[in-house]
Amino acid sequence: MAENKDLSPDEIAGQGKTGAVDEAKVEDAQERRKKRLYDEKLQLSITSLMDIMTILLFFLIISSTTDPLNVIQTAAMQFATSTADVSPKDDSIPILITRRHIVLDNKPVVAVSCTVDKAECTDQDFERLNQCEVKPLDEVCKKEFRFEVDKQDKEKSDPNSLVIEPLRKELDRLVKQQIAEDEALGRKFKGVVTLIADKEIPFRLLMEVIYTAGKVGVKGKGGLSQFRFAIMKTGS
Amino acid sequence: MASPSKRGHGGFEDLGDPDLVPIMSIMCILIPMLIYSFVLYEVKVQEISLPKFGGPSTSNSKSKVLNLAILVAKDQHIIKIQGGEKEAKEITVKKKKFRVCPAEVPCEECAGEEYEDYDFPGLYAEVAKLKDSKAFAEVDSINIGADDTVPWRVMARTIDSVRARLEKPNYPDLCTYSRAKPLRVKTTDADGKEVTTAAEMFPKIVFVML
Repeated sequence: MAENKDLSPDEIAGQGKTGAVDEAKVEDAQERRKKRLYDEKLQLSITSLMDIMTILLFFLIISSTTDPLNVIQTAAMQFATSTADVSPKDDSIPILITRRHIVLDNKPVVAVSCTVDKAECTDQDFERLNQCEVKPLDEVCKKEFRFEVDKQDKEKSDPNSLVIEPLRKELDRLVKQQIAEDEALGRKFKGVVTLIADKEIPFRLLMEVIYTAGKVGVKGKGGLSQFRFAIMKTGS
Repeated sequence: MASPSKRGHGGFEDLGDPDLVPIMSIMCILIPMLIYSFVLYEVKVQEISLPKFGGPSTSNSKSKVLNLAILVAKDQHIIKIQGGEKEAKEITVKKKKFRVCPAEVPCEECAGEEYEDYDFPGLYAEVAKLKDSKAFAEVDSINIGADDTVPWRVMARTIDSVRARLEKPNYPDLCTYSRAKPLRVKTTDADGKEVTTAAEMFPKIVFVML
């Protein structure tokens, strides 16, 4: 049996014609050949695939970490659409205004309260509201949603005040830090703010944020004076 | 006698290919995670100037500079023309009924249910008419204000209606207006090269509080 190990099935079959080998041996040799071919095919080189994966991974990591406007859309944060075609610049301070919070430096600094029909808004309400551009006849589209900052967070707890105190304090800290960094690097502080606002945020709340940001600055070194709104570009 | 070292003879011991399978497994998890968090839409910015608190000047004032303001109310747009030699003028563009039109349906075949929305095509037509007039030919800024409750999406569309010129001077409905392309014009850049840019009407947007 051992002497047949290196013979091909055809050779063994040929021997079979002479009557020296039985059918079991032929089958055994065929099995071994199949196994050898299968083992050879399994030695798949994944090095080139690794190269592709590594390039893709680095591209995705760099893209997702360098863009300050990389905001994931959720039920409480939907971009407004516009045909504006100005590309965002890196050197701005982003302020994110969602239906739940005002976020600065990846930290929620002020809570935004939402009421509809005198009840607190739910995520289900937001999801239905987000469909209003497609389904404008939905009942929820006719309801008035109120988004506001609590009066306790306003200057002197005055509900009519345009200054949001916790936001002003945090912006003040951030601007001072930015000015110090720019001075150390020999750059000029530009004072650009990018407002990333949810599409349903009312004009009043936007103006409160802009007014608060406009109050922040260091004498003789500048403040926040240029404002941009992030939008999602539409086709036209 | 000890066998000669392979390294001594300039050769390396064959260690075989490194086992890349665990690294591949990590990558197979990381890549879908990053793709999920990857922004697949285009984010641009709309620049605005600081608000002028106190709102535009009163209708009695007669400064020589013409001042154009758009006020967004709950049910209409109000175009205010102030300053200059003439009396202040107001044009109202009320909300109008439009038909629901899914993106895949051509505007001419649109037969969806009717709903009420701001008349952005009407506002665009009025502003384009004003821009074409001699009085506003050189003016490039516009004041925009709104009622406290007007959402940002309405403001963004209002800014679009006044900022850039589209291919036609007016559009019959919201569907054709929304799908219209901006008008491209040939201009020369700072280096004297000929470039094609979007034609603008009032590119400088100033937010005002009422």
